[in-house]
Amino acid sequence: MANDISLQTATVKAMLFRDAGGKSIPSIQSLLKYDKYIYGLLGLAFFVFLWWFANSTGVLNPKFLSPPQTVLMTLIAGVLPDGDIWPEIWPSLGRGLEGFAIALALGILGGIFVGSFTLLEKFLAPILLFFRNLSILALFPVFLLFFGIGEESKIAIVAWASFWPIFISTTSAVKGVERILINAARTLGAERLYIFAHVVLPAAVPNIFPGIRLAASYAFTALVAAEYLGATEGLGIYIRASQERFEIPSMYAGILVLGLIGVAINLVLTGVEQRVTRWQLGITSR
Amino acid sequence: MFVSRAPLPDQHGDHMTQLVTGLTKSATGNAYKLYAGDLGKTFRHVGHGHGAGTAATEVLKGFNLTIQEGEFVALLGPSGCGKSTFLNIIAGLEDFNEGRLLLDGAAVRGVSKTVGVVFQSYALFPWLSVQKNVEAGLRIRGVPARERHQIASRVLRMVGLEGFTQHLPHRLSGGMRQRVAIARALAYDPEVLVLDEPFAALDAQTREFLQNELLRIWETVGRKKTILFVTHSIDEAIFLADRIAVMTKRPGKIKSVIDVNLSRPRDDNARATAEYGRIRREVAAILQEEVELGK
Repeated sequence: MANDISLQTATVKAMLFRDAGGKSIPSIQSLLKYDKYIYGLLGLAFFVFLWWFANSTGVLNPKFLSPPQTVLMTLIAGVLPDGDIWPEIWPSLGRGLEGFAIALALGILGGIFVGSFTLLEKFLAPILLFFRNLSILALFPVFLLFFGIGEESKIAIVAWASFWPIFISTTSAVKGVERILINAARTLGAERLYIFAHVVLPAAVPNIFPGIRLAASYAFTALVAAEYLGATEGLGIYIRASQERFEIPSMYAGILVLGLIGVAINLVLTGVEQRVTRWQLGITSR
Repeated sequence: MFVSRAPLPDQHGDHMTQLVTGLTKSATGNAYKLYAGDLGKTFRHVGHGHGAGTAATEVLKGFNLTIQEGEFVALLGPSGCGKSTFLNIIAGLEDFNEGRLLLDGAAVRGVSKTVGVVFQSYALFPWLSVQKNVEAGLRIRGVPARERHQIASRVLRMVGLEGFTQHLPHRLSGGMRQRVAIARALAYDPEVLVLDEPFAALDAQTREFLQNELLRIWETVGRKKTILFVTHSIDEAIFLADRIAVMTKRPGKIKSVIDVNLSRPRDDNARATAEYGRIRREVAAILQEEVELGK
């Protein structure tokens, strides 16, 4: 019965498409390709509507939740070159990217190294287990002791927080590299360093990337926390200071900027990931 | 991640080397390309669960085989007899505990750059194009880009894949992938080519086609490569090889070596000759004996 109906629907659709003479229908079909974005935009619009609705009806206290249009105007005014958010962005972005880059280098190198030598992994296992599960907040005083309250401690905190997901995913990705590929490279005459760079790394990259993307979000979480602790400039301190001065729209604008930076970094990383793992198309379900 | 690569050090010194050099001459005075004398290999594994201490499995024991320059030898044996282990030892991927293994009269230590290996599972690098896969060995040897591109193109033409150079391996059929793997091993012009059941995973038609192809390629390259071809198929061994070395069950050693006096170049008609049938019965009888012994 259900089959009959779906069959009929299909037939009707086929007739409709044919009758349209191929003019308007293809545009609908081409729109269907972008369904992901259309649905996404609809969801976003719904969220903004709820936000506006909660504010204007007083469901949520309007003193604490600024209306979306006000936040948007504050945001636009703030990110203009003479706005008050603009000068806060670069210090935060710089610290975040610097710490993330350090974590990327150390995490991948360390992960390849530890993942390649079973003995080393066994040796380090308890220490690694301890540190990866230790709250970053608990380590703040230690970082402040070693690096002071300047830039270094913030970068170190970011690097520490984003190191672990990269390191852990690299270690397991390296262990998962097919032995036969390494053997093939060895029979071709490759030395260890060549095998690391040209076999282990490319074979592991698809499984390292989820860790990298997780690390990027950890990086900015840790960054904001570090800035709350004490910084003269940066988005974290801007958000907190706005709240203390009760400039609520500015607070939300700051949060929005941070969120958008996160989205942008994720998009960049996804793009890079798609580029470097393109060869996997057709092998896995990607 | 890496097994130790260096086989046992040569403790015997010059005296022994001279003695062995004497041994490595065939009756006709030609030097053996490959000489395996009294080779032994034992796997030691730490006991898990039942049984205490370490257990050991003898994989090869008293393994003797000599292969001459330009010869095509098939290594045939029951499954688990250690034929792949021997191949891995030649390839330098595994070491051995006893005996000697000489390539061109010199002890094999680790991976030799004059040996090319073809694996049953192709072992192509999935992120590299066919062209780049074939260039890999040349790149490792520091051959400049232009030159390695030319060489790889030529070898790919030889295996009939000139139209697929920019494809990724997984876009190709199994038979084509194995041709890429053969091209990759041939590209850096190794002296010895060892193949580990390269056609075992292919369907019957593709397998016979590639057997013909392999012979054609082997016979067209200027100086014939020395080939060791591991297989568990009697027909494959007879069709391809000059000699068939039949192994015993584990611990493996060579039980007997049978000459294949079929004229070359061989084609599918060779499979229908009386000589082919005679050899087939002989080899089958030897293998049967091993299987019976195993029971």
